Amino acid sequence: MKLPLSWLGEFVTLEAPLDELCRRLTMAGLEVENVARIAPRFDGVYVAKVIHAERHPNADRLSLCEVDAGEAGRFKVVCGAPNARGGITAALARVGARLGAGAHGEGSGKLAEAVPLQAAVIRGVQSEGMLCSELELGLSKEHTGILELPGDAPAGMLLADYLQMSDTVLDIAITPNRGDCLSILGLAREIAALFGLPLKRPRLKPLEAVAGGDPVTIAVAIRAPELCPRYAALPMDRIKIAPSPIAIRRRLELCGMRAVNNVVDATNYVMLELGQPLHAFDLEQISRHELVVRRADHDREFTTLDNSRRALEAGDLIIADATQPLAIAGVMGGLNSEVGAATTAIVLESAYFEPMTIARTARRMGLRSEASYRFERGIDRAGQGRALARAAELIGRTAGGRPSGPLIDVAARPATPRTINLDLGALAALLGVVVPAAEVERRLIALGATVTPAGAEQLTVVPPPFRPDLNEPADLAEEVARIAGLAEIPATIPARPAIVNPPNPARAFARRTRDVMIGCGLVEAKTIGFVAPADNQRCPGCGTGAPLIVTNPLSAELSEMRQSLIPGLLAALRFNLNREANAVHAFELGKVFGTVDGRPAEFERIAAVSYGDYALGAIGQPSIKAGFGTIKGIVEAYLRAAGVPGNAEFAPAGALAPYLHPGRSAIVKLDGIIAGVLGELHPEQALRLELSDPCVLFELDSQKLLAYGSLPRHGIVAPPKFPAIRRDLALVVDREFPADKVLKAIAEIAPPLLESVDLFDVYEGESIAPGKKSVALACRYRGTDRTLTDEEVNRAHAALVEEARQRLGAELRQ
Amino acid sequence: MREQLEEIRRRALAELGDGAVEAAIENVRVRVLGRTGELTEIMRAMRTVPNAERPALGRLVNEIKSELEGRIATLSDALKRAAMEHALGAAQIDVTLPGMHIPRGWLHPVTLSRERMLEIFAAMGFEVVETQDVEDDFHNFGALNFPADHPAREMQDTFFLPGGLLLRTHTSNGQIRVMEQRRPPLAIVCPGNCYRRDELSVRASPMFSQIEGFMVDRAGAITMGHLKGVISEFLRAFFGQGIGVRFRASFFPFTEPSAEVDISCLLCAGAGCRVCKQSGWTEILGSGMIHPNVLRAVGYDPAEYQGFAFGMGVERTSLLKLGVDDLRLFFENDLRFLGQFRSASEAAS
Repeated sequence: MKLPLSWLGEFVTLEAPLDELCRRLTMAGLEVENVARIAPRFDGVYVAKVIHAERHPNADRLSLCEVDAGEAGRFKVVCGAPNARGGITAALARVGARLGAGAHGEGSGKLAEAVPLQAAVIRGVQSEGMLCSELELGLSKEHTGILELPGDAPAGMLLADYLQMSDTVLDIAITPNRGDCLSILGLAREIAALFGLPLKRPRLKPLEAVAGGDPVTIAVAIRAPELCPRYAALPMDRIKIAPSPIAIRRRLELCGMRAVNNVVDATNYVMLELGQPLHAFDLEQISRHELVVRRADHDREFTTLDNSRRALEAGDLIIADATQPLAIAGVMGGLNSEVGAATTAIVLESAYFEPMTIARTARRMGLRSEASYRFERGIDRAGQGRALARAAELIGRTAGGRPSGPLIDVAARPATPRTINLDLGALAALLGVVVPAAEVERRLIALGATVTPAGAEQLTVVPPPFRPDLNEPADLAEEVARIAGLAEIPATIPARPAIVNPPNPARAFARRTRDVMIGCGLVEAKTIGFVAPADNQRCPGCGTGAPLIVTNPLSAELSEMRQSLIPGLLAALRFNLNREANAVHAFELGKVFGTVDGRPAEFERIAAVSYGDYALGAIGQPSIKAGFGTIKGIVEAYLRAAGVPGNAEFAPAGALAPYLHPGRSAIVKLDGIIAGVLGELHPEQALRLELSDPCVLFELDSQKLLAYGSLPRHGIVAPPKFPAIRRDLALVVDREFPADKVLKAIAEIAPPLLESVDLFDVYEGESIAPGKKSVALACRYRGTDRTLTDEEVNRAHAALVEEARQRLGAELRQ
Repeated sequence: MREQLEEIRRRALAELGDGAVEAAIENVRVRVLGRTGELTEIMRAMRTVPNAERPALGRLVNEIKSELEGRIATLSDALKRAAMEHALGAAQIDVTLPGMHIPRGWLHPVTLSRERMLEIFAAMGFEVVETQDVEDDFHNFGALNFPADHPAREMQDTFFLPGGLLLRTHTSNGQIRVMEQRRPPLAIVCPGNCYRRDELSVRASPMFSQIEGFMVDRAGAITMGHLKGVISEFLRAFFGQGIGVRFRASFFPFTEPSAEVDISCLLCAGAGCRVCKQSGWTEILGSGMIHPNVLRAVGYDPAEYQGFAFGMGVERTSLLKLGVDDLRLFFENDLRFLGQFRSASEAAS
C-alpha cells in the first residue's frame, strides 16, 4: 500500500521525523519497504487567472492573454492553445521558470537539466511567459491544450505547492490479516494510535436531496445473503464524463493507479482513501433498474471491463440485472455496463462481499484487482454508506453528477457483534510482561475498539467493524504488544527441568553415514527433488513403485519427484566436468519419492557417483581410477560401519538396474531383501552424458540399513591365546562361477578348528584351462585351548579340500 | 729377524695408507696376518731364536699384529662409512613432491549449518524430530489456522500431489505431527525439506530446508518473553555474541502474537548498506506464540497450554552467515564452491 504523506496529513497531524515514522510502522507490523521522495519537475510556475484572451494581431491561431498571478503580478502571454480563454485558471511559467519536461515535451524530465524560460517576441508581440500544458509540466502526455485548474485555485500560489508536488510516498507491506490498512484512513488510524495522536475523521455532507426530474429507484435484491450481507446503491445523473482534476489524478498515480475518467477515478479515490471498493454502472445499461446479487448459476460466460471473456462457475457471486450479469462481484465490472464517454447517468455500488467467495473467484480467474485484493482481506463491515456519500460528493464536484433517486441500502444479514473478555492476568502470562490496565485500554481504544472494565483484571472488548482479525484474547494481546513495540517485552530464558532427551537412532545413523562417506573420499552434494519423467524412466530407483507426479509442476522438466538420487548426482557430475573438473566423487543422503498402493510415499536413500581418479598415487606411482572395485569397497566399508557386513550379499543386478552395465553391476541384499544397487553406469548412459571414463555409483536404502544396523551387537571377546596355522587352497571353477559361492560352500562345510577363510587371489590364464578360473583361499585353523599340531591341521585341511572339491565340482589347482 | 719384522711393518703400513682401497687392505691382511702370512712364518721360525731374545721378539710380533689389525679395522670402518654416505646420497628424494592423495570428502555447507543449528538447540534442551515431506492439507494448512481460500495461503505457493496431498510448504507440519502424538512439556525442533512453487533463482528455490522449533507447556510457563530469550540466545550462539537482535510485530496464521525477527546486518554491522536496504537489519526468522486455533486443532485446551514456535530457512540463514548472495550455489554442487567448505567440514566433525 502506497501512502503519500500529503494525503495522510488530511487525517493525522504528525510531528515526528520520517525515520521515526518508518521505524514505528515497521516495528508495529507494517513494514515500510520503500520511501520515495517525489520532487516537482518544474519551478517558477504559478497558478494564474486568465483575465481575457484576444486574437494575436499577427497570427490567427495564437492568442494574446492577460493573466493575473496574484502577488506575482500581471503578465501578457502569447498562447497557441485552443482552450486559452478568459475566465479559466491556468498554470503560468514565468520568465526564468524551468520545465523538466521541456517547453515542447522534449526535455529529459530532470529539473536540473532544464533551460530557464526566456522572454520571447512571438510574431512581433512580447510574451512574458507561457501557459503550460500537462505535457510541459511533466504531469501527463496531454498536449491538446493548456492545463485548466479548478476555479478555486488561488492565483499567485506556486503550482508545485498547490498540487503538492513535493511529496513522500511510503510503500508499506500489508500482511493478509490487515485489510483495514489498505486505505489512507486505516493507515492514519494506525499511525495516530502509534503516536498517541487524534485521528481527524472525514466530515461528510449528507447526501443531497433529489432535485428535479423523475426520481430513479433502483431495485436491489440479495439472493445470496451468505455471500453478500450488505449492498447499497445510489443512482446519479447529469454526469459529464471528463478527465479528473489534476490533484485527484496525481494522488491516484502516487498510489499506483491509473486515472480513467472523473467517475471511475472518484470510485478509486474513495477506495484508496476509505478502503471501501466501489463500482459505477452505466444506468442506461441496467435493464429495468434492477440489481440482483446472486450466484452465477446458469450463466457460463462474461466479458469483463478489460475485454476478456471469463468463464463463470455456478458458485461465483455476480451482480446482474433482470436479464444478464453486469459484474463479477468484488472482482471486476463488465464491459456491458462500463462507464464511458457517453455516460450521463450511473449507479454507484458500495457492498460488503464475503472474503472467501471473492478470493476463490479471483484466484481461479487469475484476476487480482484492487477491489478483490481488499474484499478478500475483509473490508469495514459498516463502511458502505460513508464511502457512497464520499463518492457522491466527489462525483458532484468533478463530474457535475447529483443523486437522481434514493439511496437503496439492503442489509440482508446484519453483522454479529463480537465481544472478547480480556483477562489481564492471562495477557501478562502470554506476553511475559505486565501492561497496566489503563494502558491496555488506551491502546485498544486508539485502534477503534470499545473497552469496558468488567471486574478485577477483566476488560470487555468490542473490536471495531473494520477489524475482522480480532476474535480472541490472543489477538488483542498482539495489538497491545505491537502498539508499544515488542521491545517492551523482556527476553527471558524459560526454566526447564534437567531432562536428557531420548536418543535419536535415525539421526545418529545419518551422521554415521555422512562420516563414512566423507571418510571414503566422497563430497556431499544436494540436489533438487524435482526431475523430468525421463530421469525416473532411466533411474526408477529401488522399491519406489510408480513415479510421484506433481499436479502443478513448474515445468515439464521438473514434473515428477525423484525416485532415485542418481539423476541429480549424474547432473552434478556433468556440471563439474563442464567446469574443468576431471574427477568427481560425490554422495547425497536424502529423500526419494514414489507411490505405495497408489498413495504418494517417501523413502530415505544414500547414493554416490564416482568418476575419474579416485586415489592419486604419489609422483611416479600409479593412481587408482574409480571402478567397480573402488565403489564396492566404499559400499563394503559402509556396510561394516552400519554393522551389517554379515547380512549383506551381492548378486548380479541384471534387469533390476537397467541404467547400469549388465556385467558390472550388483544388487545388495540384506538377509535376502534388496537394499540397493551398485555398479558401473551403462555405456549407453555414459555416452549420453559424454563420459570418457567409467562412472561407478551406488544407491542404498538407508532406512533398511538403519533397521539392521541397530540390531544388538554381539559380545566382546578377548584376543586368542594360541597361534593360527594357515593352509592355502586353490580351486579351479568355471569362469562365470561367483567366487562368493566358493566361500559360502566352505563356510557351510565348517570343519572343526577352521577359524576363517579369506579369498586372496583369482587367476585366469596360463596353466588354467580356458573358461576356468582359479580361486585362491587362505584357511586359518586355530585351537581355543592349545597350539595345533601340523598333523591335525593337515588332516582337517585335507578333509576340507576334498569336501569342497566334491561340492563345487572343482579341480584343485596344481 | 728384528729387521725383518720392522721391514714387514713398514711395508704393510705403507700399503695401508689413508687412501687404501678394499683390495689393498685385503691383500695386506692375507699376506701379513693370514694363516700362511709373513707374521705366522716368523712365529714359526721363532724356534731358531736364542731363548734370551725370544720374549722381546714375541712382543714385537704381537705389537705389529695388533697395530696392523687396528689399522685395518679403522680403514674398513671408513670405507663402510663412505659407502653408506654414498648410498644415502644416491637415495635422496625431493621431499617437496606431493604425497599420495588419500581420498577424503567433506560435508555440504547447508548440512554444516543445519547441524550447527540443531546442536545449539539440542544444547538448550530441544529434541530433534523429523517429519514427512509429503503432507495432507490438514497438517500443512488447516491445523495451522490457514482457512481454505484464505489469502495467507498465497504467501506459500504450493505443489500439489495426487490424492489430495501436497509437498509441505514449511516444516510447521512438525508442530501438528508431534503435538497430535504427545503432551506438553515439549521442546522440539523439526528440520527438513520444504517445497514452494518458485523457480530456482538467486533468491528462491522450489526445494529448500527449514528448521521449525516450538516449546509448549502449561499456560504462563512459556511466554513471549521466553520466545525472545530463546531465539536471541540461539542467534547469538550461531552468528556471534555481538549480533543485534530485534523483534517486530508481524503476521503468521499459526501464531498470535507473531513476531518477525531481524539481526543486525552482518555486512555493515547495523550502519546501513545496500544489502540491508539502509535499514541496518536483516530478516532472519518468523516466530510467535502458538495460535489458540492450532492448539485446538491438536486437541490442546488453549486455556491450559501455551507455547511459542519459530521457523527459519537453513539456506537463507547460511547465505547470510557465509556472506554469499546466490541461493543456487547450494544446489549446483560446483566443486569449486563446495571445496571451500573442506576445513569447515573437518572442524565440525
